[in-house]
Amino acid sequence: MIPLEMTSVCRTRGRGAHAVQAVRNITLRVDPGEVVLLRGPSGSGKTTLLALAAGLLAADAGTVTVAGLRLDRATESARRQLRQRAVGLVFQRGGLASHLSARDNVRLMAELAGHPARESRRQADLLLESLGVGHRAAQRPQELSGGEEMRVAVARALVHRPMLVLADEPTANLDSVSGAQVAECLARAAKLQGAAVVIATHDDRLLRIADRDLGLTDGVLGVPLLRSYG
Amino acid sequence: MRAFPLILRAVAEPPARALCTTGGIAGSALLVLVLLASHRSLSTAARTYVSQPGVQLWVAPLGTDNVVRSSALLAEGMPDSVAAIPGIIAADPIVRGFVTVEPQTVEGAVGVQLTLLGIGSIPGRAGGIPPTALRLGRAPQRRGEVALDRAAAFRLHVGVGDSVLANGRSFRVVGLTSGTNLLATQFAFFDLASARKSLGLPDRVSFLALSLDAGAEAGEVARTIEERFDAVAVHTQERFLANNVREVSAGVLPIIAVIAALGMVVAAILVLLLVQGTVEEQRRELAALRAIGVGGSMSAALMLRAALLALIGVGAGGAASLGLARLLDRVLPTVLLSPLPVDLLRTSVAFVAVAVLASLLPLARLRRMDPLEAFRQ
Repeated sequence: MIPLEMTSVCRTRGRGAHAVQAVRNITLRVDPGEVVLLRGPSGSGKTTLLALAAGLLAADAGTVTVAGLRLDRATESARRQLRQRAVGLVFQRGGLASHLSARDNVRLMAELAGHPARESRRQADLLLESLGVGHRAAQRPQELSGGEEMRVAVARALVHRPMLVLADEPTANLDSVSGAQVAECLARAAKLQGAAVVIATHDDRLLRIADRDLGLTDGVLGVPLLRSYG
Repeated sequence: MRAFPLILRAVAEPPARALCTTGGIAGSALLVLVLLASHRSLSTAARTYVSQPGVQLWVAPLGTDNVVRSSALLAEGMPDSVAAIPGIIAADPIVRGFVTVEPQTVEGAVGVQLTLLGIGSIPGRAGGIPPTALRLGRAPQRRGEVALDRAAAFRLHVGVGDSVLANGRSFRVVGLTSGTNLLATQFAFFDLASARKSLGLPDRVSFLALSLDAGAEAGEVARTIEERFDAVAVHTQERFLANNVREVSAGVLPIIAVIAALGMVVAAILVLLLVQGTVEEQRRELAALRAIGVGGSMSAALMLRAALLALIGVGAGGAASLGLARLLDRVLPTVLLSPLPVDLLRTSVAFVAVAVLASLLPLARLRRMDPLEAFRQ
């Protein structure tokens, strides 16, 4: 099954005089185990593309198919279930729940995917351990460093073994060591779990884990980039 | 809803704000509970006297349907005539009227003066102090004795053994009663002869309390009395009791309802502000939770938290009202509070409903949140 397939997708953001065509006629296929970088300047449509792939935004035209589900034909409930079971999301600032510990943030995703509570806890602990933050499992996000927080966010995105991982600027706020660790985690997820990983980024350091490097300019998907937008 | 316990924790409010909201709700609940309790005390006082053991019917002058407000009197000689009707075991006469009571102090000293609802009855017969009301001492058994409501005694600064003047006549306080405080006035119990003399009503009575034979049919007896005597109304015990409760509480009920509603509004505003604050301050977190697949259970969790806070607040307010009732009973018996579990239950249900309703507005905003908020830095 193909994790992500987009055909002739368009999406406009805003209304009237403020309307901007954020994504124009994009066709993209990402296979299992593949890591794809989406690079482009701010406002180029990277985040909109991720939101379309996650089923958080609906395409104005074209089709988006995730793990065999055509999102334009799916109900809101079906799209939510898809995100619970087949999609992992990594946000730029982590997006972790501040009242939950690192472990519980990861557990939450596993439980949303339907895993039993005890099993979810075990999986969360194993994953946090493998990402080098096992010793911080009981801490809350605000007690973690930026790198630790992002690794917990990556653990949350991977714990339910999704077919598709969508990461938005996962290394933007990290130093080189932490950034490398997070990149390594995502690459490992692609190779070991067979997940398709799409990363929206400005960060050249991620090029070394990418199978494909796509440029996005004014909503148009282009050829591999030659320069950094960092 | 497998992940619901975690979602419930994930949408928690900042502890300090939750504490403040709970405190505010507790204060509002205390206000409502105190109002309900004072209303309960009023109706209890009305019930206490009328719940005379063994009495099935009350005979009153036409137009008089309660003890608290009446001015007419029954015709002379009526008690004996009524007692002769078949099916009636006893027709006990009762005199009621307002008496001015003051402590009997040394001549020239100015004491507190109270206008009390004086009740005169034959000692040992129906119409006197109900057994449940006697708190201290005994009921008056002869001329020159009085039993006062304890709140009245507190205000007069007298106790058992002290002397008071009632309409200028000297009486010795032999007992104190409770559950006989109507807030605006209190009961004072005399023997029939003393009451008649103090009130200037020789040979007249205000009511007759009737005890019937086991086989007698109350409706039939009541019809017989009303046919035989002019300008007389006969009330069943239940009807008379309800009339008295209505009489004492009808005036205060609208005020109580308005203040209780204001208390509810304050609680609703507090809950609304709390949920709104949570939704605004944790926008990105909540948007991220929505993005990863947390759906309607997030709104349910926020609503449940609001309901739980309301419940905790009402619980705290309830505990405070119990403490306040006990404290007032000891140090200020003139203010009588009788909180009941049923009041707490009703208040809890009302506050939880208000909290849930109040949380709907911010939750509607949450539902309209742009899913891309989760991605924004």
